Amino acid sequence: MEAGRATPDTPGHTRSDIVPVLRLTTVLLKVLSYWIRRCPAFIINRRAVYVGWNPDELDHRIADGLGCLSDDVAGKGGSGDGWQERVRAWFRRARKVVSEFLYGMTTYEWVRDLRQERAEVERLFVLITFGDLVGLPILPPYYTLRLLPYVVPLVNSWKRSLLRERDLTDLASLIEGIG
Amino acid sequence: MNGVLVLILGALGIGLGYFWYARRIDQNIVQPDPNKATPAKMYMDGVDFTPASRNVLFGYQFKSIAALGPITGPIIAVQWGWLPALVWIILGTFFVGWVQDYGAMIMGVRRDGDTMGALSYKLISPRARNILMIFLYFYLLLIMGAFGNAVGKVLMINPQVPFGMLAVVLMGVLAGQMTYRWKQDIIITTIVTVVLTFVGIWLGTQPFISNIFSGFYGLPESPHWFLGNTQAQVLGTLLVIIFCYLGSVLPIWSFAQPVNYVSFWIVSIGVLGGIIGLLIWRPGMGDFPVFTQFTTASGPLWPILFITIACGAISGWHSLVSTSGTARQLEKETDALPVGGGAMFMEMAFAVIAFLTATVAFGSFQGYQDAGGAAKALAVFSGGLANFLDHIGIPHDFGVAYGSVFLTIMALTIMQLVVRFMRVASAELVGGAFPVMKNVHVGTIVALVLTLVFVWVIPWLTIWSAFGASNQLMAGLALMLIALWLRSEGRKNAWALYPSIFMIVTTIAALLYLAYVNFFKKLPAAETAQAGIAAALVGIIAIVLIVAAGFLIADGVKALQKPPEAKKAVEAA
Repeated sequence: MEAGRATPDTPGHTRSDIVPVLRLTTVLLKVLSYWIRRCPAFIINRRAVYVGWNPDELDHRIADGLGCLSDDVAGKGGSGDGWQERVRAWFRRARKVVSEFLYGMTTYEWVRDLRQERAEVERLFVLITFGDLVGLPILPPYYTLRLLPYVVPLVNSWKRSLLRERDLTDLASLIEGIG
Repeated sequence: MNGVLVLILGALGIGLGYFWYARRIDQNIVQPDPNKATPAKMYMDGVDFTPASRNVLFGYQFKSIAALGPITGPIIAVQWGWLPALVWIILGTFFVGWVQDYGAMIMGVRRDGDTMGALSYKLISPRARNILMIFLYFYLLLIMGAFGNAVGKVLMINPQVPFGMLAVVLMGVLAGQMTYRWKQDIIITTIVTVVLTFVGIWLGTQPFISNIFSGFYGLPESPHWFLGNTQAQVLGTLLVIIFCYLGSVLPIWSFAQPVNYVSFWIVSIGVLGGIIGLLIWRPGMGDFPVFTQFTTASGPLWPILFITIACGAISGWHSLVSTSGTARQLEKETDALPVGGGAMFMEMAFAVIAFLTATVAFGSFQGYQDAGGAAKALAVFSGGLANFLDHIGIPHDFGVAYGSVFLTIMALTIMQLVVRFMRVASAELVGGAFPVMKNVHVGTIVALVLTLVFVWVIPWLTIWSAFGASNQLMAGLALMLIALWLRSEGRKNAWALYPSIFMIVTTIAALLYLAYVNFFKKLPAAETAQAGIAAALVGIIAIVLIVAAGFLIADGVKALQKPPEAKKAVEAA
């Protein structure tokens, strides 16, 4: 069917009227799904992805998630070539702000919870295997030394996290929405 | 006064407050440095300390601080007339609210991501941290009582509401399963669960379902069971308690987290619809009085109004979230103002909308009182929201049920997390002496039994005042800490110190009033055991808080008299 001719099913509407609308809808859906799926570190291709006990894999995912957030490509203005470019840059910035705001209000909390859970188990694991570092020898060094290369990258943040003084006010951020 | 004029006035308050006052303080006094490493960068562990974009954190901070508090306070406070309530919402946020949220956040950033507990310990005294814990404990207990009372004894007894609430819960559980177990597309998950929730809320308004709950509650004349509570109130409260129990003991991914997620969309759509309806309708206040009288059923305007509107003007809880949560994720020091201050000003806008549902949605003061008045603030909000939604073509009955489910789920999502927190707190605090308290179910049941005592025994308005007082005392403490920290850095602190003095004096006056009324008026006049127990309980809580505040003030004044750290460092050099 030629573009521009009225179809029998839709008197008064031409294909050229409908195609841009369909295209716009499809583009909008794609943009929406792209925003939602690219931000949370654990949602890949719009589905929850479990990365098991491979810390590199999870770090990679988290880095991807953080990278997309700190990516400032849309945050910069245009090259200053005319008002159209400035308007486009403004829209890009607005889109970035709205998508990040929505992400902060919705699934960011999920990502934080998953990180917390992973960190709890990891802290415990390193404490059992490398407790000597904080004066708690639990496993014989023969076995723990074989794990050393895998644990070295974690040691600093693990020690800081384990030895940091905590009280109940640390948990306050877990209760959201009291006002 | 027209509703749209109030919105414009609110917008002016935000504009002046944020872009003039807050920016001047930020740039001239605090002087944040965008190149200075924040704790999120220095101690990055990918968990607590993780840098995030300020837009993400703005959304996170706003969701963490804005909920039922800014809705309830203004609706109760308009009993003094619309002017005092509106003035306190705007000026409270302008001079006090954002100061606390922003100040606590930037203080957390500059003090290595320390929480309020650690900051109290270091800046005031070791005893100050314990006092903060006392405030925190009573705050959480009172919030459970206040929200449990409002939901279980007012909203849930409408037979059109429980099915909608069950729909939200079931769809939340489904969302968790779809996301984590079946690994479904998150957009599809969101659309399916949100649409089905709306269908559930609509079904709940249909007679074939609402009649089942009418029978369950013994309506229309629900019989009195015990402690002055009807069958509907007792059963409504028990449904709330069951929900909180599940939220506390089930894994967070399977219940609390997805239920919160689904309810976020339900609440956001409702707020958006309400605002659109308001803008289309543009109603006036009719004969709603500017000022009614100095002393109302809640007490005298000063100090009670200032603890009645807590969240929406200033709330002590925000300082805890700002330090333990957001301050550890700020990428740059310069993000503290848009995130901390900006979210507080946006919460003020939320409070103004709640204020409008009470003052313009019913067209008159009588209409506000007929809808429930201060004693049934949440019923007023759901009725007002339904009136706004009427103007975008939503049937009134559905609007009321939707507004009630919206508020119920807002309260329940907080309550389940508070019970979870209380369970952990009791295990930490008394688990050594009583090992049984370390058991998940025992800790939860103890917290819920205490909640039931508060809900069934203490009247709503009294418990709300006590809750507001504990919240505002925490705010006074937070502001005092900010003033001390500024002094320790050799910076001007009057912008935090004077609000701190105002909040502490006002709150102690409110607590003295509560203690006096409960011990010397309500207790001698109590005709039932329930009334006597309620008066004694609230009186005792007020006294405990006053004594704790007394210690805090003494320690705070001593700390203020010490030479500032910056000056000491210069002298040492």
